[in-house]
Amino acid sequence: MTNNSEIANLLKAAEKLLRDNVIAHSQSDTRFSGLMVASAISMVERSLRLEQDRAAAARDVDGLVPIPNPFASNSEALVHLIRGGVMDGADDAYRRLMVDAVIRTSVTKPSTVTAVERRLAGLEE
Amino acid sequence: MTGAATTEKLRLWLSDTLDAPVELTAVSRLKGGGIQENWTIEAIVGEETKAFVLRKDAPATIEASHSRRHEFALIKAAHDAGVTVPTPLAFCGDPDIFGGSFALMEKVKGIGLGPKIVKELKDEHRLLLTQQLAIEMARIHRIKPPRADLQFLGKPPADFAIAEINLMREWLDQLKLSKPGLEWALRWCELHIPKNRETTLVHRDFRTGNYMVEQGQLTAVLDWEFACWGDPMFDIGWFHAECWRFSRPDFHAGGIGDRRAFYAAYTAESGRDIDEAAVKAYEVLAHCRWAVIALQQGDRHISGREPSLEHALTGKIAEELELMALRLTSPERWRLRDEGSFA
Repeated sequence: MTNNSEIANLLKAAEKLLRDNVIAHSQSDTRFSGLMVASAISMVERSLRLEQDRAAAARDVDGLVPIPNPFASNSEALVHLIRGGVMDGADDAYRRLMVDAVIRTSVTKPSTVTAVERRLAGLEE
Repeated sequence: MTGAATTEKLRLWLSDTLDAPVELTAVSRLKGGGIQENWTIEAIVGEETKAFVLRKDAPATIEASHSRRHEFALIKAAHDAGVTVPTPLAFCGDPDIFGGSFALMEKVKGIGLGPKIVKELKDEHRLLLTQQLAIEMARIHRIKPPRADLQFLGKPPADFAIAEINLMREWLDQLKLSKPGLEWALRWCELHIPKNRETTLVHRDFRTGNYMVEQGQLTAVLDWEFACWGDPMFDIGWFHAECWRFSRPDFHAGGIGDRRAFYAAYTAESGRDIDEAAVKAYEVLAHCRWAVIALQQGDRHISGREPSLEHALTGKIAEELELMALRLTSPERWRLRDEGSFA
């Protein structure tokens, strides 16, 4: 296994097999368990693809990380500022928080993310 | 089915409690119930066939959920106030009977799964169910402090919303999680939710998925484990929050009906006007609160206390809830505060 894309493809195939050949013919508890496993596989697959896309985009634009996650390293400090009222209603902070939330939700539940939000976060349609 | 010895202890306890000979015909654990275990019991009591639900604490509970003893007292108070709840029968504090304290109630007919109710409800039942729910909530809000039987709820907070917001922050700190998006929304709530004008009993988890419906009619309001003294507008906001509308976000009243119909029925039953700005602001807090609870559920898996894929996936729901809360708190919505209205 050499890259995330290959692993993601493998997981996608596993998820499809699980849905088509197991869940489709299961009932009640087994079906519920199968759906949970399929959901977890999907999340991991989407996460790997996102990571792959971001790495590729970063390589295209030298030195620039295309989808910023400005809060990864200083989120505790940011929380402190927000609680203290320093960021109240600030446009730039809001945009960054939205981008961050959209990226994470595009992994966990992409159906809830709108096209406008995906564009805001620099995600491919 | 449980072990034979446990079943026999339960049978004897039931017989003693119900003052009649009891023959158990089925004892089985129900699906779900992350915070407590739910068991269904079928029995012949005297000469009658009866069905009960037994609620017992799960191995790990989440912050702020009541014990079964307190939950039983809450259901009893609600029952006495005319709220449609499963008839509370008895509480057992002896862990030797069934492996932990438990409450026994009559089993109620109907479906309780939120997405299923929202999906299957027929249009002809929407208005009546919406009105029924509003009336039930109004009856809950008739229960006011002080109450000797609900002393365990403690003293009502001076400002309910601020107390809730501080609790959310405290829970996030306990989880050692920095969630700037949720913090942003909580800060918005801090500035926008008005101080409560009155204090009543608040169910605190009154939403589609926590009541039973049979043929379009409400049969019981369930899950009282978070109830407290607080702002009645909180329950209205929680019920209307988008995260509890499931596949029907267009029906603002819990995915089942119209917001105006709910408001009208609630006001008619309670005589209380709806503070719409407070309700809308509590809808933001609802997303934050559910997100933090989801993170707590996820932590039960992550911490290794109760490894479970279901808990792990519940934790992931927090991401979409944070996004929903952010959508409701754009910079424009902060500025509207200065203009005096954001409802």
